[in-house]
Amino acid sequence: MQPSCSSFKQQAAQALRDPKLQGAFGKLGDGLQARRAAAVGQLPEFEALREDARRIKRRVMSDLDTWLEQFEQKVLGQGGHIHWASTADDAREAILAICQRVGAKTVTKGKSMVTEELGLNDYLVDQGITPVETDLGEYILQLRREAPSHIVMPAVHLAQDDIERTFVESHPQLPPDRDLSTAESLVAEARQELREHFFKADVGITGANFMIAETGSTVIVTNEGNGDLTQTLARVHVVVTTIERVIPTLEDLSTFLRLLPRSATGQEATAYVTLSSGPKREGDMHGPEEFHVVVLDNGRSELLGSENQDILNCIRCGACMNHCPVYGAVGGHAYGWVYPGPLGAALTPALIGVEKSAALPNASTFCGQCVAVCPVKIPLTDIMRRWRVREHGKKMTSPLARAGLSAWAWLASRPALYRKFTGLAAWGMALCGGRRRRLSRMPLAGGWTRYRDFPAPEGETFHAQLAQLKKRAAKTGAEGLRHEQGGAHE
Amino acid sequence: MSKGGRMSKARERIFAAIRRNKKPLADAPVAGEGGARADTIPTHTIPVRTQLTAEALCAEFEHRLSAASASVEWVESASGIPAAVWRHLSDQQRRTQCFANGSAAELGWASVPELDIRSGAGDADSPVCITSAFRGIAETGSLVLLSAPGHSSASYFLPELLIVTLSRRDILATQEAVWADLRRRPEDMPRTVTLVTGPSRTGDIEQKIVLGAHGPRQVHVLLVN
Repeated sequence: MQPSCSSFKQQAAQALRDPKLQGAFGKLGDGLQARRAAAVGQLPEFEALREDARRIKRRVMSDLDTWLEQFEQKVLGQGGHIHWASTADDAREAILAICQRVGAKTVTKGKSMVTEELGLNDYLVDQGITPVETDLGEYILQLRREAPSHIVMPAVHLAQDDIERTFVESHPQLPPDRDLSTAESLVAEARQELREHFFKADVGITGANFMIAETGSTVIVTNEGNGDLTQTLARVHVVVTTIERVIPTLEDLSTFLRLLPRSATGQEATAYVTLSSGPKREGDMHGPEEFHVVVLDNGRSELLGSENQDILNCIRCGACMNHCPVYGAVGGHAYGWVYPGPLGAALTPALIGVEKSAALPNASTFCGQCVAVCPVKIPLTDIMRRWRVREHGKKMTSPLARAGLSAWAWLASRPALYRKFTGLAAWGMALCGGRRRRLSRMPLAGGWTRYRDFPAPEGETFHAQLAQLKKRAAKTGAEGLRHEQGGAHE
Repeated sequence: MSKGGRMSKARERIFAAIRRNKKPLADAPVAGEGGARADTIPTHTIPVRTQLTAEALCAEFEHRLSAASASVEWVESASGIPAAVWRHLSDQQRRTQCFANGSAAELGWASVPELDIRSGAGDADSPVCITSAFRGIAETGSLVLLSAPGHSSASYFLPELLIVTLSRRDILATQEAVWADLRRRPEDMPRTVTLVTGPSRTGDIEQKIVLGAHGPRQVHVLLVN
């Protein structure tokens, strides 16, 4: 997928004007947030679990090679194969080589964001292999030739009637006047259409939420069951995942399984969690004859040991985007690459370079909601801030912005002058605010005042007020200060 | 260069980068000496709600099953399962082939001659499958299903109605307890370990929850006393 992150501003503006998209998000409301809050509220240990999860991830990252080697040995010991891929090219070629060796014509796919990162579907089509997405959301998007706009709910930007139209157009063999007016009827039709694909597929590709070093298992956490049909009924199962997904033991998995569904969809548990270990065993009725794990790096190992390492802790629950006011306003496509929302803003610069994606870490108000809900406590806003610093350091910001920042830095490092200047500015703004005490125009702040007024300062600066308060407190003693502070709140 | 050669080059590159960049934790033991080894079992936070008496354990399991939209029924002994299955089936389902696998295949199905029971996992259009669970997890109302010869994981996903049998004594409080039992088995790790919590579902269309996305629309649990 070609990134278009640098056009974030234009794409966001377009999204804000898109009535369909705004309608879909309007319907969504704060439903996802409420569901998560309810599920988290019912588990008093949620905070302790977040801390445990962070600790597990820190431990894994400090010794990532050891865990990956243990995982590799277990996979090989169970008759599986492992393919290391340094780059997206390596991974695509490894997958293609498997498909070609077994003469694959069709490939079923469970939901996998890593395969989006690889642009795998287009690549396979170019090689004459037909990929079939089997997750309902991904299936709808494949029919519409669209990219997912959310990492957990890929079709969250679509309305039901969009999907109805897509099915009528894409399934011409079915009676055109059939009733598709309910979500149930659409789900039933997709189930029917996809059933035979599971049986026909030569290769089934899934992602992995986790790799377990102890058992050599890959784990998928799902609700529909398509991932399981994909990996059980195809002749060959290929798991596509990335280096940071390895965890040590089954107990570590349990901790993550208490966090992931609650954070993602507000569920206590998803309908399915499947641990897959190696190929079909002797006497098994079903199961793949070959089991392959493609482990992709694609820039992640360079995050290790860096100040932004914590983004590797991400378990892809999507809570950060569900709680992000920017994502909630513009949706996932505006971000211009695979990972939207705060996750994308923190991760994308590491994967495709800050040169192509600096707009993403800037697309945040730093309200911190994402950090507050992250199940593995990733300091997302800190990471975004560091990407901004990197952008500034590479002189990628505009000359005007750089000049402005330099001027501000010059002023802010001279406290006496700074106080004089801000005092003057507060006085001037109050004067311009007039009796309305609001400014409808302000130099350098057109972006703000074009849509709303700016409240004018009503008195002296914070510094000046604090200084006065301290002076008075010194006169009347500590009791007086406490009284004054109480009064200031009223 | 051959494909295999490229692959091992990629492996070298990845591991070299990891070893160059990783920052060891100050408080962690040395790798391979009890530190980074998967055979030391960690203890993490376990929700207090899982500390239950034997009685409460079953009640909690039933409660969580219903919360996950599964139905539950108690039967006195394994010999009562065929009759219970018959009672649960709709008229239409009674006329179709039902597939039984796992230990469910060895029940006295002859006691209900009206049932057309085959052993196996079923095919693309199998409406009913009966299978047996290794354990149940009270914390979440999950069924733990292990694949084995004669016990195909496809059978949990193909039918419209999945009936699962489980002994009362196999209801455990947490996943951790199941992992311990799994390690105690003499056999290797099963090819698949599947935790099933209620029917298949999707919210991909406007967040409306619809059951039976690709897997069963109904999950019915027969608890054997």
